[in-house]
Amino acid sequence: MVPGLLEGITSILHLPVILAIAAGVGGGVILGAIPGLTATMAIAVVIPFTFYMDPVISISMLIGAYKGGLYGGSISAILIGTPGTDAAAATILDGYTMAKKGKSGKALKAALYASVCGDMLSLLALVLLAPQLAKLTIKIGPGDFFALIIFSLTIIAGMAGESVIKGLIAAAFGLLVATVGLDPMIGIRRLTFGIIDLDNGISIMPMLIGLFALPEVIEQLEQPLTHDVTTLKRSDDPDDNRVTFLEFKKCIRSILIGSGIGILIGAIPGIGSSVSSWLSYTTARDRSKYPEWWGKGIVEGVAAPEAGNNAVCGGALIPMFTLGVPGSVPVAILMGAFLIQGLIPGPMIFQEAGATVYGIFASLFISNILLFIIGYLVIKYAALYFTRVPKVTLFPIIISFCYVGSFALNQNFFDVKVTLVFGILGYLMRKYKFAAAPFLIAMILEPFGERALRQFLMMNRGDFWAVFTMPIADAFFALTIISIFAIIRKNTSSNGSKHPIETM
Amino acid sequence: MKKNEHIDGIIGIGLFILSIITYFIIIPNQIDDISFGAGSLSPSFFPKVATGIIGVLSIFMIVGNYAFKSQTPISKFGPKSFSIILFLIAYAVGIEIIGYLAATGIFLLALMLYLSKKSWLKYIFIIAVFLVVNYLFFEKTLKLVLPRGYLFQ
Repeated sequence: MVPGLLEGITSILHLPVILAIAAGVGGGVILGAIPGLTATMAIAVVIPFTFYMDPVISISMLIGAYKGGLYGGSISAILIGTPGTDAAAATILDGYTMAKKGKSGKALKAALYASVCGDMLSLLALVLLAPQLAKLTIKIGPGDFFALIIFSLTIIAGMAGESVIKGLIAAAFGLLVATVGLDPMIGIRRLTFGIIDLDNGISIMPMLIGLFALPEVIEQLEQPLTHDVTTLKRSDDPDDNRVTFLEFKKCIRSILIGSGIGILIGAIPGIGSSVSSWLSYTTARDRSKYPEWWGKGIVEGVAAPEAGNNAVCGGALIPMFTLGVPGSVPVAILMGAFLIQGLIPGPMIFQEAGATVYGIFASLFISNILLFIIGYLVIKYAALYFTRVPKVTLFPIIISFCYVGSFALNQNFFDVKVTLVFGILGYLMRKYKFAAAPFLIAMILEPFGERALRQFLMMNRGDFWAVFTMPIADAFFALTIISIFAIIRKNTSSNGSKHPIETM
Repeated sequence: MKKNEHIDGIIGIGLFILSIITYFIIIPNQIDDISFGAGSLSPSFFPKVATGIIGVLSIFMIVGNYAFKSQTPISKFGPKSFSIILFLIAYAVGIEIIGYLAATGIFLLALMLYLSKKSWLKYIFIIAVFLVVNYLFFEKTLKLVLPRGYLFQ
C-alpha cells in the first residue's frame, strides 16, 4: 500500500494536476458559501470541466469540489446565519453567535481547522481501511452482491425524505429507468420507444445534472431575490480573529468526536453529512465539561459539527471503493464520474486500476492541504463577498453550465433534452416530496444488481433459493430485514399517532 | 376541506394507473420476452418487478391518504416556477434552432431581465464575458464543437 501511495503522490505532483484540484476546491468553497447551493451542486457545476481530463485529475477535481462545498457551507452559516448547505446548519448555533459578538474571524478559522482535521482523519481511515476491506469483499460472488444491492437500496430508500413510501417509489422508478437501453445479457432493446439515442441507456451525468442542479436553481429563483445581508462588524482585536493554541487544544476532543462520527455515518449508506454534523454537535456537547456554554458562541461548538460534516467525505468513499455502493448523492455523482472514466468502483478496482486509485488517494491529501490554503485566503479576503453573489446573474449562468455540461460529455444534443426532462421531473419530485437520492442511487445500482442476479441464476440453473445457502448473502438479507424493521419503528415512533401504513 | 389534503392520494392513483399501463401495455410492446438457457431471466423481468413495486406502493399511498389521512406537506407552486420552466424549455429549443452561443445570449438576458429589470447594461457585460469565456474554454481549449443549431449548420 505504501509504495502504491508514494507512486500515487509522485504521479500527481505536477502543476496542471495541482491547479485542477485547486480549481475544484475553490469552486466548491465559492458555491458552498452561496446560501442555498449545496456540495452536490458544486460537483454538478464542476463536472463539465472534467470530462476530457485524465481520470486522476478529473476525480480529484470533483472530490476537491465536494470537500470545498462542504466547508463553504460554513462561511454563510457563520457570517449571515444562513447555512450554505444543509450540513452546515449545526454550525450556526455557535458560529453565528460568535459572529454577532464580532468574532467571525475566529469562528471561520475554527471551522476551517476542524474541517481540515476531520477530513484528514477520514482520509486516513479511507486509505487504511479501503484496501483491506476490498481484499475481504473480493470473495463476494454474484449472489452475495445481489443481496448487498438489496440491502443498500432498502437502507437508502428508508433514510430518504419525509415519506418512506415515496422514497421507495422513487427507488423503484430509478430501477425502471435504469433498465432502458440494451439488455445487459442478451443485448435486445428495452423501453427505448425506437429512439436510437436510448440504446445505451439514459446517460447518468445529464440525468443527474437535471435531477439535482436544475431543481435547486428553479427553487432558488422562485424565492424573492432581494437579498439584504446584515453585515456583522468584525472586532479589531486580533485575538477575536484567530484561534489560539489553547483554544485549538480545547477543540481537539470535539474534532475527534466529530471525525469519528463523520467517518462512521459516511460509511453507512443513506445518512449523509447533515445528520453527521448534528450528531457530532450534540455528542460533543453532551461530553463537554461545560455543556451549558454551548450555543452561546464557543469554538468547540463550531469545531464539532464542521469536523463531523467534512469527515463524511472520506467515510462515504469507503463503501464506494470497497463494494461499489454509493452511500450518498455526492458519492453517487462521483461514482458516475468513475464510470465515465472507465473505472468501476468495487473490490476489483484495487487490482484493475491500483495506480489510478492510489493517485486519487494521494490527490485527496493534496486537496485537503489546498482546502486549508484556499479556505484561509477566502476567510481573509473574500468570505462575505461570496455570500452576496447576486442570484439574478448567477443562477441563469448555472443553468447555461448545466446545459453545456450535459452536451459536452457525448457531444449529443439528446443529452440536453435528458437534462431538461429530468430537471422538470426532479423539480416536481421536490415539490411533492419524493426524494431524488433513492432514484439516482437505484439507477446506478440496478445494472450491477441485475447482472449479479442473472449471472447467479445462470450459474445455479435458475435456483433462486440457493442464494439463501450462502452465508454472506444471508448476512446481507438479515441486515435488510433488520433495517426494514428499524425504519418502520423509527417512523412509527417519530410520527406518534400516525398510522404505520403511511410511513412504511 | 383543505385544498392539498388529497394530493398524495391523487398522485397514488396516477402512479397506479401508470404502473398498470407500463406493466400490461408498454413493457410487452417494448421488450421481446425471450430468454436463453436454463435459469436465465427474461429481459422484461426487472422492468416488471420495478413496475410491480411502484403499483403496490402506490396502493399504500392511496390507502394511507384516503383511509388514514396521511399527507406529506406539499410546497406551493407559484406562477414564477412555471415561467422559469418555460424559460428552460425555450432555451433548450433555442439551442437546437439557433445554436448554443446565440441561444445562451438571448436566454440569459431574457431571464435576467425577467428576474430583475435593474442594470441591464451590467447584464449585457456579464453575458458577453460569459460567452467569450465559454467559447474559448469549450471550443478552443477542449476542442468541443458547441451546438450550431439547424439555422446555422
